Amino acid sequence: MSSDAVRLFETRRAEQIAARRRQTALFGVVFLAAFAVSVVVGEVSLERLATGLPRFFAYIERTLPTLSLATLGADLGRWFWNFEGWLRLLFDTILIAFVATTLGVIGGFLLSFAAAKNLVANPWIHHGARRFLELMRTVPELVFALFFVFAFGLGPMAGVLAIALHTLGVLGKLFAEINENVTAKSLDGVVAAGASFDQVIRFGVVPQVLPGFVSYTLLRFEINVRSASVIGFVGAGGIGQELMFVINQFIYTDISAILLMLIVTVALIDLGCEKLRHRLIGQESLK
Amino acid sequence: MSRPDSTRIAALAARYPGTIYAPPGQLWGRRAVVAGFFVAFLWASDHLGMSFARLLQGLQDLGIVASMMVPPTSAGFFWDYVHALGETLAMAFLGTLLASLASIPLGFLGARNVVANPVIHFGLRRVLDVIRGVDSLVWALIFVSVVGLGPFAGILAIALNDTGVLAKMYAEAIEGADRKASEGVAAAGGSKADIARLAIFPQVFPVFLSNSLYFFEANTRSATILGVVGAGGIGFFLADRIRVNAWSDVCFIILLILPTVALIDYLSRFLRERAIGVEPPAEALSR
Amino acid sequence: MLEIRDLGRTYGPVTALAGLDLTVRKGEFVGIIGRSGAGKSTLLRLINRLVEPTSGRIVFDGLDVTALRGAELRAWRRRAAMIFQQFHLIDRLDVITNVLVGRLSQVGRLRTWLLAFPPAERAMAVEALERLDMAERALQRADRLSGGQQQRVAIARALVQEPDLILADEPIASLDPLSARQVMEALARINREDGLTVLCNLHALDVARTYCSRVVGIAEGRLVFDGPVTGLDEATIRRIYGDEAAIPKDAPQDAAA
Repeated sequence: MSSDAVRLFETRRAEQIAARRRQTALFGVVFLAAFAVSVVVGEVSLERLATGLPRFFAYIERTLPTLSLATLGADLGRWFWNFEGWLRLLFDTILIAFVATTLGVIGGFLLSFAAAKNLVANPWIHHGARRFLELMRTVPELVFALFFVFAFGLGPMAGVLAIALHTLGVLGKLFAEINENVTAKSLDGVVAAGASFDQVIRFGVVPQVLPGFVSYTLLRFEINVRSASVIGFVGAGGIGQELMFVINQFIYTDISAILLMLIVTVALIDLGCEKLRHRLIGQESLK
Repeated sequence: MSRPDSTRIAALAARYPGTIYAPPGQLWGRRAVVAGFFVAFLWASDHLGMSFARLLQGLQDLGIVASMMVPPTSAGFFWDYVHALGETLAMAFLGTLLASLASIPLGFLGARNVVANPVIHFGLRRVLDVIRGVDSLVWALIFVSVVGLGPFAGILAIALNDTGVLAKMYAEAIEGADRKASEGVAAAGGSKADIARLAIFPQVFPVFLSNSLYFFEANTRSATILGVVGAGGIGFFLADRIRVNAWSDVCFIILLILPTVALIDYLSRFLRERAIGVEPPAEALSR
Repeated sequence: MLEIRDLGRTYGPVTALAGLDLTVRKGEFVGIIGRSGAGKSTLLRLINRLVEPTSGRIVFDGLDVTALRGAELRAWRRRAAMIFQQFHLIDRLDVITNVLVGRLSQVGRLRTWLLAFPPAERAMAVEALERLDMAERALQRADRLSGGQQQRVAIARALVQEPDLILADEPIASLDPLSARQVMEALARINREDGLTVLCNLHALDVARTYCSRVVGIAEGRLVFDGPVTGLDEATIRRIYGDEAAIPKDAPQDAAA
C-alpha cells in the first residue's frame, strides 16, 4: 500500500521533470531559431561588430574638443559657441515635455476611471476605453508627430500634441491598473452614504490612488523630456532639429556640446523629480 | 442633527481650531501652488505657439487625412513591408539580447554590495547615466553615421540605450537582494565570486528575465520608428509614405504594425506572468 | 415605518435570503441575530440598496425603495445610513473629511472635488464628532485611530447624513470589549435621543439582550424568530445558532457586554 504510493509519487515526479525539460528544450529551440533568423534579417555579423565598435569609439573621440589648460576659457567658448541659442532650444524642449505631460495626465486621469473594471459596470465603456488607451500607447510619439507636423504645421505644437497623446495612453493604462486595485471596502463606505459617481471617485478612489498617480507622472515627465529632445527630428520643435543637423553634417564638437548640455539637463530634471516624488509621497497633504 | 447657525459655528471654530477654517497660511500656500502651476502651463502653451484656432484647423486637416486613409493599400510593396517589419523585430530582439548580456556583468560591477571600490561603481554609474540621458533615436542617428544605413545601426542603438537602463536596474536589484543568503555562502567559506553566483544570482535572475522581456516589448515599439533616421525597420517606409502624403499606404503600414506589437505584448506578458511571476519596477513600466 | 415583503436574494445557486417579511416601526432598536453567513449582512445591504434584491419589496413610509434609481436612489441611501464591521473609512483622509462624506449628497460637485466644504457643513461634522467624543481628533488621519475610534467616526458620518434609519452591520465584531461597549452605547444613545430607528446585526446574543428592544433571528436566509428578547427560548436559540449554541463559551463577543 505505502510502497504503491511511493511508486505513484515517483512516476508523477518523473513525469513532471520530463515535462519541464521538454518545455525548457522547446524554449531553447524557439529562442535559437529566433536568434538565427534575427541575425540574418538584422544583417549582423561578428565582423561588422568587430569593425563597428572601434569606429564608434573613434567617432566619440572625434566629438571631443581640444582643450588646453592655458587657453581653457577661449577653448570652452569655442566649444559652446552657441551656448545661449542651445539653452533656449533646451528650454523649449523642457516646456514641450511639461505641457505635453500635463495634457496627457489630464486625459489619462479622466479615462483611467472609465477603463477600470471595478468602477464601470458597463463592459462596452471599460473595454472601449481600454482599447483606446492601448492604441495611444502602441503608436510611438514620433509617428503621431509625423502626422501632426502635416496637420498643425512645423513647430512645437505638433510635438506637444504627439507626446501628450502617447502619454495619455501610457499613463491611462497604468492609472487604470492602480484604480482596479482599490478595495471595495473604501468604495462601499462612500456609495452607502448616497454619493454620486464622481463623488465616489473623488473620495473612494482618488485618495488611495493619488500617490501612485503622482509617482508615475513624474517618472513619465522624465521620459518625456528625452522624447521632446528627439521630436525635433521630424520638425516638431525643441532641440532635436539642431541636434539632427549637426550629426548629419558631422560638426563633431557641436554634437558633444549639445549632448553634454542635454545630458546635464536630463540629469538635473531626474534628480529634481526624484526629490519631489519622495517629498510628495511622504506628505500628508496629497489627497 | 441640525445645521448649526453662525454663533454655533463660531463657538466650534474657537473650541477646535483648524477644523472649520483652515489656517490661512496653509490655505493660501496651496492656492499659490495651484495658481502658479496654472499660469506656468498657460504661459508655456502660449510660448510654444499653441492655440485653439490652430488646433481646430489641424483637426480638420486630420479629418481629411483620415478620410484619405481608406481603403488601405500596399501598392505592390507588401513583401517589402513584411521584410521591414521582420527587421524591426530582429532589431528589438538582438538589441535587447545584447543589452541584457552586457548588463549582467555591468550590473554586478555597479552594485555596492559586490564591488566595494567606490571609484568603480561611481564611475560606472555616471557612464550609465550619460548613456541613459540620450534617447535611443539619437544613438541610432549616430550609429548610422558610424556603421551606415540599415538595421545594424538600430540594433547597436537599442543595445547601447538599454544597457544604460538595464545595468542600473540590475545593480539596484542586486543591491536589494536579501543579505542572509550571501552571509550563508560566506559562512560556508565561499569567495566573492561564489557569493555572486550562488547567493545573489538566483535571487535576482527572475527580476533580470522579467525586465528583459518587458524591454523587448517596449523595444518592439521603439524599433518601429528607428527607420525614420535610417536605422532599419518599418519606420523608414512609414516616414517616407507620410512625407509624400500617401495616406492609404500609411494606413496599411499602421495596420501591419499594430497587431504585431499587440502580439509581442501578449507573448511578453504571458511569459512574464506564467514563467516568471515577477513584475518589472515602476520605473520600467512607465516607459 | 419600514416594511419588508417577501424579500429574497440569490447568488447563482446560493440563496442568501429568501421570502423575508419584516415590519419595523419608527424609533425601534432591532437586533438581528444569527450565525455568520445567515444572511444578516445581505438584509442590511438590500435595505441600503448596495445589493439588488432578486425578489420582494422594501417600502419606507410609503416610498417603494426597491424601485428607486439615480438621484432618488442616492437620496434614499442618505436616509438609510450604513455602519460597517470594517468601518469603511478612507484611510488617507483626515477624520473630519471622513465625516463630511456623509454630507456629500448635499454639497455641490466643484466643492466636492476641491474638498472645500462650507463652514456650516464642517461645523456640523465637528458637532457630530463632539457627540461621539472624537472632536479632538478631527484633523488626524483616519488610519492613525484605533478600531473603536474609527467606528465612532463612522457613526458620526452616519449622523451627519441626517438619516431616518441606521443600518449597523456587525459594528462591534472587530472591536475589543471596551470599544465594543462604547460603540453600542453610542448607538443606543442616538436611538434614544434622536428617535432614530436602528437595525443592528449582532453575532452575540448577550449584546442583543442588553441593547435591543426587539430581536429578529435569521438562519439560512430565513426569518426564524421575531419578538422581544425575553421570548427567546432554548429551542429557538438552537434553531438560530445551530450547533454553535451547544457550546456557548465558543461564541465570541459574549464578553463584550
